[in-house]
Amino acid sequence: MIANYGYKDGSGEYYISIDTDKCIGCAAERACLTACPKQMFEIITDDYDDEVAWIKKPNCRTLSYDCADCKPSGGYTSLPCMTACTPGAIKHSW
Amino acid sequence: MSSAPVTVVNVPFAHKAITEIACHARGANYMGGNGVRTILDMGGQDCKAIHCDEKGKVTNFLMNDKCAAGTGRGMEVISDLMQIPIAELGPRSFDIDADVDAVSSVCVVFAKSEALGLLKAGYTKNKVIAAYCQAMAERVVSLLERIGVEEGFFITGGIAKNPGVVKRIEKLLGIKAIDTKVDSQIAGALGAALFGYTLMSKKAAA
Ligand code: SF4
Ligand code: SF4
Repeated sequence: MIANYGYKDGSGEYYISIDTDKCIGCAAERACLTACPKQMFEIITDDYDDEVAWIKKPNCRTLSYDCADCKPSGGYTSLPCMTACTPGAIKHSW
Repeated sequence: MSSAPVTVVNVPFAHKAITEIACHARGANYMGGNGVRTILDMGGQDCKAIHCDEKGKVTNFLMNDKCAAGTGRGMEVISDLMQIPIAELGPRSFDIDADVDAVSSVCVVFAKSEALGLLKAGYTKNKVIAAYCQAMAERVVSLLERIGVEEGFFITGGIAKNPGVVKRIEKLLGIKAIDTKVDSQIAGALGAALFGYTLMSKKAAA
């Protein structure tokens, strides 16, 4: 399942997509949990009883601010979450 | 480890919490048949775009609950502003001489002041409603396009009853929504009941 967390507002579209099929038996040992400096990721049991990552609810409404420090303007050349998630489950829309 | 958003505070006897997203997909699959693939839920407070498989299992979803644009709440604001009952907004949005452009703002607060500006500029109430319905349709279509639109389109939630929005969405997507005789507003509850039924049937058989 592709789970999209985030929003669209007057300034743009801010979504983090997680391919939860890749989280099942995660080959990166849940690296997203520790890689994100804002600790936005959490492992949950989803509606179909799979243990997958999601973005914590409060962050879903503030993504553009929460992630700003990790984006190129913050000095990063690659995002810590995407680098840590070697199965390639995480995508950012902006 | 936590599980999906739990709201057992309201339902103390609940065994399990299932997200509204999964419930709407399951309900839409039951109401619209196993050909349903793309679901739009326009509820009172949020709007969801869902893609599901032939069993009603979610394969892709997106939810907007940050702002009221594309929700029943947004429609209520316009109904209040125009002093026109919400059920009349859809039909009245077609009672115009020619198609109008959408109000430019997706934000309900700005759309409200824009609507007032249009009235002052001489727009009829019906034209303003049409412009707002068009904006709402464009807004939710952009959510649907993010998850990918496939034939087998089903709309749930209260705004499924507003032809002013539904027909404009159909026009923008170039596909017709599946008709149902069941009340579109109960899709989520129906899906939850189906999940509960499956769970209890499994328990009984164990
Ligand atoms: S997001 Fe990536 S690292 Fe995190 S659980 Fe899923 S596959 Fe593993
Ligand atoms: S970009 Fe940074 S803050 Fe945003 S989810 Fe990734 S690691 Fe966390």
